[in-house]
Amino acid sequence: MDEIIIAPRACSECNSEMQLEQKFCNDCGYPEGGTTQEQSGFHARQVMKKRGHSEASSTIKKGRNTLFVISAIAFLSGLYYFFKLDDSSVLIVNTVLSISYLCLGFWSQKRPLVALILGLMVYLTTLVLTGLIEPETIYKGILLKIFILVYLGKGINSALQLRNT
Amino acid sequence: MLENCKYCDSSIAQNAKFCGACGKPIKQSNQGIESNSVQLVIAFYLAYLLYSIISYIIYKDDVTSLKTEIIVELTFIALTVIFSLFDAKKILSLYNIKHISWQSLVFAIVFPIFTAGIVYLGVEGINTFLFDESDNIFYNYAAYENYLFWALLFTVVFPPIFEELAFRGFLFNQLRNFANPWVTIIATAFIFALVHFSFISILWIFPFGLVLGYLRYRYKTLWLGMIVHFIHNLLVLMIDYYYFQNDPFKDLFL
Repeated sequence: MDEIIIAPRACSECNSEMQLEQKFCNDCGYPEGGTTQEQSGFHARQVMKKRGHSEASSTIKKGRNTLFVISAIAFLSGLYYFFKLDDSSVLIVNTVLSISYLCLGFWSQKRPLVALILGLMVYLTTLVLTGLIEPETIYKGILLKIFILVYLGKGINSALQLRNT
Repeated sequence: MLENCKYCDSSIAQNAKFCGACGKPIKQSNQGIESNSVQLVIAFYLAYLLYSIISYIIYKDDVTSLKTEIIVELTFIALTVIFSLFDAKKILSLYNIKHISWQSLVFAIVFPIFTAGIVYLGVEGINTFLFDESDNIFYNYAAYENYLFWALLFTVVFPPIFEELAFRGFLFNQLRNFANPWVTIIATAFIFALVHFSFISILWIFPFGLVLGYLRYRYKTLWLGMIVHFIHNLLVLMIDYYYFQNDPFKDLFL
């Protein structure tokens, strides 16, 4: 008598091989053997997850663009003070800063969490240092400063969320 | 060895990402540990910035006494120790000599001789040229009684112990919770350079921090970093002392 061979099932969501007794796929967690309600629940969660991913990615992108914006501001203000005060040390310091932000911006494409944290630290440090040296500059462009801090902070939060999904 | 699902206790297939019986994810999420470490790193930096603001305001008045100097130094030590308590067990295990080889020890003794020379000739020169400032520490300490002792304590003894604890101990461990070893080494070196608040010094403190971070990672100890840091600071201080002794106007500072 011929032996009955039961062909292994494949997950209808990701096509991975599944054993007969398995209710959920080992690879994607799809409830292949579950009820229709469970299966539609899975799809709903996937859509939510995808939306969460793209929202987090766009917040990280905003954080990255913020780093590029600060980089440009640092360089341009360095040039401005160089021509206004004829002080080359300001230009050198601001160029070093500008390059640091630029590098962190590019690095954030690979390592968003660490790059954005470091960017936030550099920005806070420059705010504190310029505030101490010239206290009258603290309120100058305060809205822009708050926006920069908020975008960097939100970027860090999203990078953290994205790592864990 | 096959494991069982921690939610429903069914056996789990090899390389499975989800349990076949209950559908729960197998891999434990590190979210709690990671976000906790991110918060600690940022909190540590903010605390350090606040400490720097207060120190700057104290020093700006220019009537600093030895007493304020001691309070400022002790505040940094307290700050470092308090943050280290969050991770005390792991940090304490870094005070070991198990993994130190004689080659690494020789390196830790020879390397700072080069860095001290390069820093003194190169960076101090740039600083004097660009900002017209001399950083000779003895112009600040000369007014104190036993100034050589205090300069040794505050620049040669304390920094290797507590900066290594803060950056290669606490910060390194926290960053390591959400970054790979190389990213951690680069990030600690970057923050180490940043907190020295001297933009020109970044040129040498950053690579110096990279070496200290690598030693911490490779030999799993804080001792090597402390030796490098100690010898470097000692040599720079001794050169400062030599120049100060030969300064014809030094009596003005005493």
